[in-house]
Order: sequence, then C-alpha cells, then structure tokens
Amino acid sequence: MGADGKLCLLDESSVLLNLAMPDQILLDCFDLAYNLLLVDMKSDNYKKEILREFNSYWFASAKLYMYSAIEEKNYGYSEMPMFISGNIRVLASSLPEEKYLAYNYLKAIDDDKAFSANCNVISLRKNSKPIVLKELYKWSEVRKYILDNVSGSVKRAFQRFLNQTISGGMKYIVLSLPSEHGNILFGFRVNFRNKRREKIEKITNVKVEQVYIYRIDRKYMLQRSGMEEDISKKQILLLGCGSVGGYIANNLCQLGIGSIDLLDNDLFSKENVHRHFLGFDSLMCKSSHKAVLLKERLEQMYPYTDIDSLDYEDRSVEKFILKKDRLANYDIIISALGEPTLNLEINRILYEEKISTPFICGFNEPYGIGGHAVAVNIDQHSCLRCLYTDLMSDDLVPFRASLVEEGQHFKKNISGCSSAFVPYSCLDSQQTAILVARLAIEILKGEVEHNKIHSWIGKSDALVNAGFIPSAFYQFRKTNKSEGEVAIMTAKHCPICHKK
Amino acid sequence: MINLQKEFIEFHDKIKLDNENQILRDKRDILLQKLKENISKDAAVYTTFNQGSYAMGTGVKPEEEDYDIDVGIRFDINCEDYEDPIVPKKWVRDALDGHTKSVKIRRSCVTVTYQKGNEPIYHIDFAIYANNNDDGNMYIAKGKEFSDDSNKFWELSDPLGLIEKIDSKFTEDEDRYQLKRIIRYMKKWKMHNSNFTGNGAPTGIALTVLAYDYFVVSKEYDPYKLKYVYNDFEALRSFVLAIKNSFKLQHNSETGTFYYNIESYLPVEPKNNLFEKMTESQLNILYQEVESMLGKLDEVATKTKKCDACEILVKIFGKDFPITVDKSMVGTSESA
Ligand SMILES: [Zn+2]
Repeated sequence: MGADGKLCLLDESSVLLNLAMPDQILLDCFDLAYNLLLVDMKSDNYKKEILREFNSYWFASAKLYMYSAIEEKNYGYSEMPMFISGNIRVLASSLPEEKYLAYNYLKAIDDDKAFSANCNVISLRKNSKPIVLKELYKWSEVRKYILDNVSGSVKRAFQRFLNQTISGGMKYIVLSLPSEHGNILFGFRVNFRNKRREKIEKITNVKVEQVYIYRIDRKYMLQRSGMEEDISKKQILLLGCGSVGGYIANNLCQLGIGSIDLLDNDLFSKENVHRHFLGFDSLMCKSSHKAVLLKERLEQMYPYTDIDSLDYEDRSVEKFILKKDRLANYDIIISALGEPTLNLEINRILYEEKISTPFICGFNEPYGIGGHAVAVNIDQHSCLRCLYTDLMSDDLVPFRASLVEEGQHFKKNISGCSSAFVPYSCLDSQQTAILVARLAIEILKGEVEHNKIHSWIGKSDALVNAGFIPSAFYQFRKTNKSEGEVAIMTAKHCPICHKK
Repeated sequence: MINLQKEFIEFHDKIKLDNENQILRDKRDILLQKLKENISKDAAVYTTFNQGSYAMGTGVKPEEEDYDIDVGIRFDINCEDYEDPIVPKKWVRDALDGHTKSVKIRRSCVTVTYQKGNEPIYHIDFAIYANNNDDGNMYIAKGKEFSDDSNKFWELSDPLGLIEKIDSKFTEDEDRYQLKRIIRYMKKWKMHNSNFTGNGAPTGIALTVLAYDYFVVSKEYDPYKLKYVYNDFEALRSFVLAIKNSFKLQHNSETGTFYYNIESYLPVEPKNNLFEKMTESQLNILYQEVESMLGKLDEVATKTKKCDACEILVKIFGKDFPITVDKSMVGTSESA
C-alpha cells in the first residue's frame, strides 16, 4: 500500500525491470493484480497482510500526525500527558522528555503557545482485528471498537472514562494493536463540541479525526539498523577520539549502542579537519577537546545514545586504566589510540587482573596500505602482546602482522614534533573504523569465539612511491586476496599470556 | 630466553672468510698464472680446483692474519707410473720457487708463503693429485722431498667429496647456511681457546665432519614473515651437546687411566678417524673444553639481558662477538 492509499504490486527496489519489454511489463502487472484479487479475505495470510499494511492505510487517511517515543509495552488503560506545540505533538514517558525531543529533534519552536494535553493510551487485546478502515469515523464506532477489543480490566477503566461528564474539549486516544512484528500504534483526536455537560459516552456532537503516529521510540528506530535491542544496553569505552576513533564513535552510535564513554585529552584543531569526523564548524565550539566535541555532535545526531566524555585526571588514558574495576565495568573496550605502548599496557592489565572485558585495537598503517582491528581477551590462548613478541624470545618487536617492513620511519614532521603525523587519509580511518565497529558488534552479540585480526588491504603504490617497502605479509595477503580475518597466533615466549 | 640471532649473524659476518674474498682470490690467481708460465715442459697436463674450507664456504679469518687457501692440482697422470709421489710435487715447487721467500714441499701439499710489504701473510697450499688412475679414483701425493720411502706414497683421496656431501646435506639453502655458520662458530671457538696447544686442537675438517654428522637445523616458521627464522644459538647449543654425548669414557689398560675418546670418520676417502692423531690427554682436554663451552651456552640461555648473554659468548668466541644491549624502543607504523 503506497502513501496515497493505492495498492502497490511491486517494490521498485526489489525487481529488475526489462525496459525493452514495456508491453510485457503491463501484462505481468495485470497478472499480479489478478492474483492479488484472488486472495481469500478470510485466510490468515490476508489478515496478516492487512495488519502489516495497516499503518500505510492509516497514513493515507490521517490528516493529523504525532510523534511517539513511548516504549513498546502493555499500557492497559493509561492517561499520559502529551506535549503540543503548533502541529508538533509528542508523546513520551514524561513531559520533560517530550519537550526535550520536541525542541531538540523535532523543530518545535519554543514559544508560549506550547501546552500539554491528556492522551489516553489503550492497549488492545492480542489477536484483535484492526479497526475497519473508513474516511470518517463516528465517536460511537471508535468507542465500540475499543470496548470490543480490550480485556476486562481495561474495559472497566475505559468505561470509567466514558462515564465522566465534560462540556466540550479535545481528547487524544492512542491505540496499541499487538501484531507479529510488534505493536501497531494508531490514534484519534476526538473533539467534543457539546456546550452542556454530558457524559463522554453520550456526547453526539463529536468530530473524530485519524492521527498518524510517527514512531521515534528507540526500538522502532533501531529496527532498521539491523540491530538487536540488547545491544542498546551495552557499555563501551572508547579510548582515542582521533581520526579512527571519531568514525568508530559515530558508527557505534548509529548502530544503536546504548552508552559510550569517550576518553581523549587531545584538542581538535584545524589541521584535523580533513581527517576527522568533526568538521570545521567544531572549531567554533566552546570546548576544543575532541572527546567533548564528539559527544556534543553525536548526541545531536542520535538522541538515544548516552555519550559521556570522561574527564578523569586530565583525560589521561594512562591514569584511567590503572583502576581495574573501571575497565571491568564495560562490555567492551576499544582503543583507537594508535599507540601500541598503551594498548599493550591495557592488554597486560586485562590479562593480569583477569578482567574478561573484550579489547579491540583499531589502527591504520601508512599511505593507505591498510588497517587493522585486533580483538583480544576473548579467549585466553593468545593476547595482544603475542603480536608484538619475537618468535624466539620474549623480545618486544613491532606489530608482527604489519603490512610494512619493519624498521621504517613514517612520521612526517612539517613544523616541529607537535605537528608530526603519519600519512594516511580519512578514507583509511573510515575503513578501519568500519572493521572495528563490525567486530565490536559481533563480539557484543557473542558471535566471536577467538582472538583475531580483521584487516583491510589497500594499495601499496603510494607507500612505494614514497620510498617505503611493504612487508612480505602484505604481498602475501594482496596476491592471495586474503582480506578479512586471521586468527591470532600464540607467541610461545609471550611474557603476558605464556608466562612461566 | 633472548634472541641472539642478530648478534650471531653480526659475529659470523666478522669472522667468515669466503670465496668472495678478493685479496685471496687475486693471490691465488697470480700464483696459478706463475705456475702456468713456469711449469717444466716435462710436467703432465693439469687442471686446478679450489678445495678446503675456502671452497666449502666454512673458512674463518685467522687471528694472526695468516690467511690460507687450498688449491688442488689434478695432474693427468696414473699414480702407477709415478712410484715417487714427490715428482709431481717438485713440478709445482720448481715452477713457483723464487716467487716468494718460501716455497716448500710439505707432507700433504706444496706450500707457498706470501708476504709483501706490510700486507698480511698468506700461504697457499697446493695439494697434488694423480687423476688418471685405473680405478677411476683420485690419489693425493704424500711425503716430503727427503722423507724415507715408507713416508712417500699415493693416498686415495676425494677432496671434493666432502664439499659435495656438505652441500647436498640440505635441500634448503638457508638450512645449509646455518650448518656452515655453525662450523665457523666452532672453528672460531677452537681458535680462540688457549687451552688447545700444538696438535691438541681439533682440526677444521674434524669439526666440519662432526657438524655433518650431528648438526640439526634450528628454525621456526614465522607465519607473518612467511619464512623460517633461524636460531643459531639453539643450533649451536644442541650441536655442542651432541658432540659432548659422542665422547666415550675409555680405559687404557697399559697406563691404567681413563680418558674420553671421540671418533669421527671422514665420510669420503680416505675415510679415516679425524681424531686419530690426538693423544689421550689432548682428548681429555678437548672433552673438558666442549663441556665447558656447553656450560657457558647453558648459562647464556638463563640470561634475561642481552649484554649479560653477550659477555659469556665473548668468553667463548673472543671479541669478534658483539656485545649489545636491549633496546627499550621499537619502531611502529601504527596510527589512528
Ligand atoms: Zn600473549
């Protein structure tokens, strides 16, 4: 059913049409329409289909709309305040939340014309049929539909409402109709135009209007992100809000992660603009801490994510990781620090303190040659230090799965140490951030059983042209087209996980 | 356990003497040219070839700068026709005589000692062979000019056989290189060890054959470097242990004493025991020195600091073994 109430035979995005055969397309459409008309109106399939399409029909006939952020549950018969400002109507669990949503996300104008109204939220019985679709409803029809489709206690509560006497007024009724795919919300605005006080049930001078409900509740919004609800309760610690970290934070919020703590003591500067999720406008903000700016930006974008920029002891990662309960409280720890020294220290603390929080490190390699997301602390057979441990001894060596030959220096230094940087582009960081976010979600869903490295393998041209050498491992993975994951091999002499 | 491979390779680069060495090559070529120009008209036709450690790639620079090269001269003669093996030796001696201060016929070769100005001393040993014999084998001319007849003879010999054996022991080049490095380490140990006096030191060829028999490659596959990584320290340690274990305590019924004996036979002609010339007390010293080396290597394995490990290795091999310290920093290509 399209928005205009017409039946839709085909979804353009799900079929490939042979435009060279317009006549046949027409004939095939007739066939589809014919088959549609043959559907048995009493069959379960038909009922399900109607239920599934109900919202579209409602949308077609409704002239009013409202936003609902109330969570999906059985409300029985409830009366809730609703916030109204102009034609922005918001229903949420409380008036302050409604106002917050209205002003921050729904373009409501903050003026003295805003007010709150009473809204009846009524949950219908399971297996209730949707209301028969009509252009116009009479109050008696709506009343009867509700009374016929609610349980005894709800019926009594609704009856008490009907027994109230009023002299005119506006009531909103939101009905919640259970279906296979969650509850369907549809509403009415009932305008009682009686001058004399009368029982609500008896009023006849009533204008009933259909209200279409835009759902902005978390569950509904996240359905399209492909994410399960429980991801939203997860707590993530993200260390490093630089180029990779910024994109990771955005990915995770967009995916519907519930809570992210950001830790970074770095300041956002104009040099960062073309490598960072934040843009030039962030330079105008009050704070210049990357973590704070990122929090502000992401909260604007994703109302349901709880983002915190940690300000523990000068935002120092070194100090923050010292207390083990702090690390243990998270469902996952992600490092986008690009500093292996700190990553290994976190690895050591997690291992030695027996903290079971999974740990992901994401970083780029120079000149677009690739990037990695390394997940450890998922099993105990290997650890991050294994990837930095010599084959024959416990000597510390550079990242063994590196895509560049060891012993090369990549830091470019244009004007002093503070502006030194490693050449890579924002696309590299985005690609790495995607790997990290995917891995994080896989881990949170419990789909990852072993420590592993996810890598993306880029081109070596820029690196080689700059006079550097890719590693044998790069050549191998490039020629074997082995992008993707490799297991982390245990280092026999690893001083962390193979301590004698 | 620390990784000493870099140090061992650095050490090896310092001590090795191989056929890349241009000076030695030049000296040899000059002498061969002289030989060609001056050899008597009576002499038989000959061909030359490199032999010895120089040719095998197991040569070690001498401590006293006394370099030597072994060159084989194959005369197209049948040893049956030359009852006196000194005759072909004289062809060579006479052709080169006067070229340097000293050209001498020695038991197994003709030795030319070469010294010019402040340059180091070189000596080139020409081993003389009869190469056209009824049995198809090669024979080496043994004996000095004025030895009595019982010390002058032709001895069955296969100078290139050992080189071939060593070179074909492993199909992987890198494995063979480790074998040759280990032989060089052992030669250097012998050279540096002052407890070996006179003929008390094992010969280079004896150490080579021990390695041929007992050496086991020590390497590990690095799945990220996609190649084998070699561990010379472990290879050396297990080799020295194997040598120690091949000694047998024996009783000399004449003197009533016990001694440690080791036997190792040349895998090619003349297939002799390469330790046969050592006395019982020399063998005892050899055993003690092997044991002491093993003790030091075991101690190295317990060290956690590079400099401590290196110091022990310097005791074994001398100052050519580098002393390095652990680095507190490694480079990284990571950024975020
Ligand atoms: Zn480990």
